[in-house]
Amino acid sequence: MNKYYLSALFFFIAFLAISFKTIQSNSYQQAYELKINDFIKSQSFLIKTVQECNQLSGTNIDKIKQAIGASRNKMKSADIWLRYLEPLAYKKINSPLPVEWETEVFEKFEKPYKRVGAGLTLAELYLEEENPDKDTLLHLLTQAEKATGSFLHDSIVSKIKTFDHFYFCNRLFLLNLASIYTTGFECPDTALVIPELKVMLSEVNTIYATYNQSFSSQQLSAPYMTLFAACIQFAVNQPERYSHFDHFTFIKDYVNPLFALNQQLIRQYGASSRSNLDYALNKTAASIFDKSLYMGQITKGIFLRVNDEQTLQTIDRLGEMLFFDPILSANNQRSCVSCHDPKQFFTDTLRSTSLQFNEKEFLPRNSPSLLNTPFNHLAMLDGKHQTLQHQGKAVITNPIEMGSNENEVLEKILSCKEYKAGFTKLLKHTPQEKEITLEHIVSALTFYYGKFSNGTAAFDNAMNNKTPVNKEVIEGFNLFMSKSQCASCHFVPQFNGVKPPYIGSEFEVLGTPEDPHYKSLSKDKGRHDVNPATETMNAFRTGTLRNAEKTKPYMHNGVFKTLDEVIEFYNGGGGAGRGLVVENQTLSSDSLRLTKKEKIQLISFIKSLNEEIILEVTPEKLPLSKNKTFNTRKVGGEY
Amino acid sequence: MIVLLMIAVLSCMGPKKVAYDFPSTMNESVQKEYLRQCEKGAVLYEISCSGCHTKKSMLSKKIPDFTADQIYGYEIRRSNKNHENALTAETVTTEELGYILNFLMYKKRSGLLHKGTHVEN
Repeated sequence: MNKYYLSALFFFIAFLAISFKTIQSNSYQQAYELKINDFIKSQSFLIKTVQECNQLSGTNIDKIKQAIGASRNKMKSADIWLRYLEPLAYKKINSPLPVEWETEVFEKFEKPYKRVGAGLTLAELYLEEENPDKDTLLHLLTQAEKATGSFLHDSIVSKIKTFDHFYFCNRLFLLNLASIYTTGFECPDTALVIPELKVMLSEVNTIYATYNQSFSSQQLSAPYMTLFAACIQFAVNQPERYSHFDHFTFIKDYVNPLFALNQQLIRQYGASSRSNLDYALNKTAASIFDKSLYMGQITKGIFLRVNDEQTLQTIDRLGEMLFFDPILSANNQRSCVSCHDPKQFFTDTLRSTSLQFNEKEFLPRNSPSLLNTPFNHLAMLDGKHQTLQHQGKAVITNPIEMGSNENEVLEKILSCKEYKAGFTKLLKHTPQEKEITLEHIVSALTFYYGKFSNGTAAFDNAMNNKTPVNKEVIEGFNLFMSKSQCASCHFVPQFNGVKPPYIGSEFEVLGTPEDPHYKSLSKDKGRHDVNPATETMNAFRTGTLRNAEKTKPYMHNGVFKTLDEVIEFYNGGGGAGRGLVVENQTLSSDSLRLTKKEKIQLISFIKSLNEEIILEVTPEKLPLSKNKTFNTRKVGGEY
Repeated sequence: MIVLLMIAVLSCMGPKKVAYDFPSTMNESVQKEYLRQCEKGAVLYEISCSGCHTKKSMLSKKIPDFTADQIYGYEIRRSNKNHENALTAETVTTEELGYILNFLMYKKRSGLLHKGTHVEN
């Protein structure tokens, strides 16, 4: 009989334990569902408010704005999940633009596709327009409400039931804290940027608590929780205006160290991601300001699987010689150096646009520096090429650049014994190719110049607590992140158009003039040439600000010669702000009202992004060819 | 002894040339381009995928038949935990992944159905 009692007791205890565990593991899920439902309720209220308005004017607009504000706070409470778990739905909830053309790294071989945005930010912006229409407003809001509902579908809720997603949601959250949440991106009323941030931080803290309760074996560590509490405290003590907020300290002392701890926990717990959003991010990068944070381009190209140091040195050496070798051009007089001189930070700082192959005319666009090109997903200012290798091939075969063709250039290169022997030796590393191809050639080139993008800037060293930067730089950065609106297009940490989770390159329409006196708009159609659409007319891929001081002239056509001119251009609201007709300008046409002192601070910050580039000695001679006529060619070319 | 000799001879023969089943409606020049890509794909499959997906025995290697659903596209990079680390853009480029998928799509059926995510040896 005792045996039966014992067994019954055992089963009872087991039952209790299982039940208790079930309750525990549900608390995080419950918090999730509660926050999503709260957000839906706030949207229903907002929609009802709009429906009850007879017309959209006066106090009605104030009432609606208030309801939008309340709903935005609910959205921010769940933002850590919303952005990560279903990014497509998020575009309907809080898109910054009515239409976006997406070319994300996952779809590299697909054409850009159109995403029509909706949601709270667009609704608020719409209310600012003249005579807003109730139905249009309701359409923006009902789409958002419907999209939020999708977060309660089983397919998404099932992700909440395992721990893995949490660390990736949190990683994206931290990256966004460093790059968009404090800058006014997707927040039309800049007065609300910091108040919304405070709501978000406090709500995330409660999410952390429920997560730790539900996933006791994969908890956020004590140092993480302590630092996060300090981060909240820091934000609470900061001024409410985003232009007075200390963005620099917030990122350096809190966000970046939290990111490092989160990365460590991802590795420690072996968290695994099934999301496309984690495609470019590196689990081992210990700082947001580490060049290994995300991968944009494979500089090794066809040699991607080569890891042996000696072979890599061979590739590098071949790439170096080719980079300086005018044999790549049809007349043996132009090399990569002609437009991308290492001594000029791998660009041509002497002209607005470089010379054409015919040595008479000039190219239509400014030569970009090759530095940090590996951190773009799309190459060229119009994003025409998906890889640096495609871009390299296009330059060699472009009649107005190097004027050669695939067969001719290969034949010429392989007529040089040193090249032929070098590439033949490398063939065993690319067994899918039976012979040396142009892909081998351009891969050696990209591998060679790609290594110069590993440099760090004074600003990175300050963020990584190695060497401090002066007050002017810090104030410049704080301005950059707020009043001057730079950071909503030049995202931390590369200060280019690639924003977290770093899987796509953004394009902007700035209204760049043809001439520095703003007589007319530049005729260059930019992205429109690649992807014709109303929104892409005159749009260009946002470039990095790293080394900007050293890589003049500026803009796609090199129209501005100094950083002061560039700052003036933005301060005046771009082309539209200067009276040019730019209907699709993505930059605000209002003046930024920057003071003289502020402009100096901004430039100081930009100068702190100059990187330490360790140049190598220029090759003294080039490989000899069987064809003696090629052997008079000059290292680096003639023009 | 004879068996061992046979095994040795067979293993020295190396991989057999793969045959392909292209649709009869596919025009010749397109077929030629697909063949070029499939041949690259076959080598790349051997390098990057066969370790987990090819059924190996003492005498033979069998590349399983994947269904269209299993080779749907770039999402394959994250279709399981192993792929998250082994099938990244730094181990197989997007272009190469395309070659591999074409190879798996058009190679002659081996009769070994690919179940789940990995073939158990």
